[in-house]
Amino acid sequence: MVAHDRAPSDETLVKRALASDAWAEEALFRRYAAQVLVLAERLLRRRSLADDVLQDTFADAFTKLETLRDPSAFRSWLFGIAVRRVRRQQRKLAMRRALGLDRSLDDATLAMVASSDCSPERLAELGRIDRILATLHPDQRNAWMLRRVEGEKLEDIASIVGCSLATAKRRIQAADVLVRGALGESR
Amino acid sequence: MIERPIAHDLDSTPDEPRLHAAWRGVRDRVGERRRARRTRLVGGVALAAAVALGVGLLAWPMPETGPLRHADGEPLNAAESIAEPRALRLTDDSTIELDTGARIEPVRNDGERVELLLTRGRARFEVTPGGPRRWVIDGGFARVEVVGTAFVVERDERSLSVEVEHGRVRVIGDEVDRSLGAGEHIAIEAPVRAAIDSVPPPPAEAPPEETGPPTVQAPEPRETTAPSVSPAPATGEDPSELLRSADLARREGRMRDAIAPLEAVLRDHPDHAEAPLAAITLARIQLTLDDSAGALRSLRLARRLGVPRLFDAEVCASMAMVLDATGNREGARSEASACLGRHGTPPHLEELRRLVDAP
Repeated sequence: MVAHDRAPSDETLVKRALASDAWAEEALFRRYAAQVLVLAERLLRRRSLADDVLQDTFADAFTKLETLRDPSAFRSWLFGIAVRRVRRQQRKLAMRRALGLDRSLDDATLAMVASSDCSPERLAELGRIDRILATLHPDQRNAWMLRRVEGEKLEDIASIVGCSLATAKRRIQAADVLVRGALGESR
Repeated sequence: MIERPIAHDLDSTPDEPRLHAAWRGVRDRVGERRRARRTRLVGGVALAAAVALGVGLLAWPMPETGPLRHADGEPLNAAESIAEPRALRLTDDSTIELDTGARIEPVRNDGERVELLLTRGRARFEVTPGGPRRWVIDGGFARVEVVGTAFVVERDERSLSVEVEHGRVRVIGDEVDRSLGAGEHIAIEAPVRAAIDSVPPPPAEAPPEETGPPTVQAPEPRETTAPSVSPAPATGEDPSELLRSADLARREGRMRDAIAPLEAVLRDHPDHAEAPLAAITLARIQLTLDDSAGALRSLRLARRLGVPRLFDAEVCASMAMVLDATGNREGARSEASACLGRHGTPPHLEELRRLVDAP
């Protein structure tokens, strides 16, 4: 949960939303929409698909809010929904590509969403990471992105992607080896 | 590499209109689901789902294969607009709007790739996203690779400019490889050798050509050439001659020199078939030169003269932006709302939504 000075806690907002308080729903959206959108965009590497994921994630969350057992864990529960929605889009996209129905380019790779003050060297590095990430299995890529891009804790990643802690670690380590290799770094 | 999260190097601030639109989408989806939940009967839903699935499968559009064609089935060949602008609608619902004098030639057109050569002039492309074909616009000294998007490419002998209305494109040339997003604009100077090969020597007054890195602008500055010191083009009484003279000045980047002949057309030949287009072109130039009041006058004049349907989206979107710039918030909101009502994806879509949603 994120602490917000003088702002109601996630727990309070969730309880109010469960009591049909529309303001609380909007407050939860305002608090996390940007984070979910950015996460979806980075995992999918497609801006247009990320908008869909954002809307579906919150629609899922608000219609299944009563299934959230610990209201204070709203953030990781929400991110879990978002990542499942992302995986669904990744499967669809892979299918469309395999059938030749989608040959359009990714428009939200790390290099493309780099901030404008990023140095040329860093941009080149991000480009190399992008190329490696494109070769990884989505489960491996998602775990690595949550860890190395978003800076999430390992326990949270396991909870978000719905796997054991050991599996999350294994996926991240395997991707780390490849990324470090591409960047010419030793362990 | 991995000491600190990469997110620190990334842009992480989605624009507010995008989030606002998403919130509307969430409310709609939640509303639909809750209504459905209240009224749903298990048996009815199962039956409806089966029926919907059957209908969906039958109605599922089969992916198009083979080359793109015009919407009426004609093959897509070289096309140009000689006397007046042309709009081409293709079988995948993409559109190409050619300004007067523009010409495109298909280089490759099959189920996997559409590659068009813009040999000259200005063209606006609105590419339907997610299709099976990869789109590439070849502007001679740079190529534009397209994701689903709307953008304008303008080419003359000395430069190529690309302006993205929405979506994203990648511009690749000898000295450039840039991704452009909505509202961004890039102007690329022709390499000196290419320019010497393809154009007659420039007039003595013209600024010297330089080959340098391209400039990316977002989004205000558009004039790629310094204000010209050459004399205004000769203006005769013949409206076609005046229009040609204005067009030449505009293509050479001498925006200010294009104003006088366009004003002469509007003053002396308001009944000419291309007078509305002259007014729209004048407004574009005035917008480029940050003359909002002048652009407002020109757009209103264009409306009085009768805006061709092809340009209606541009005119209403520009009108909303200009009204906003001149402080007429209510007028801007009303114009933006009408524009969004008439056109699915007009130019400046995000700004128009912002104007409508402004408190």
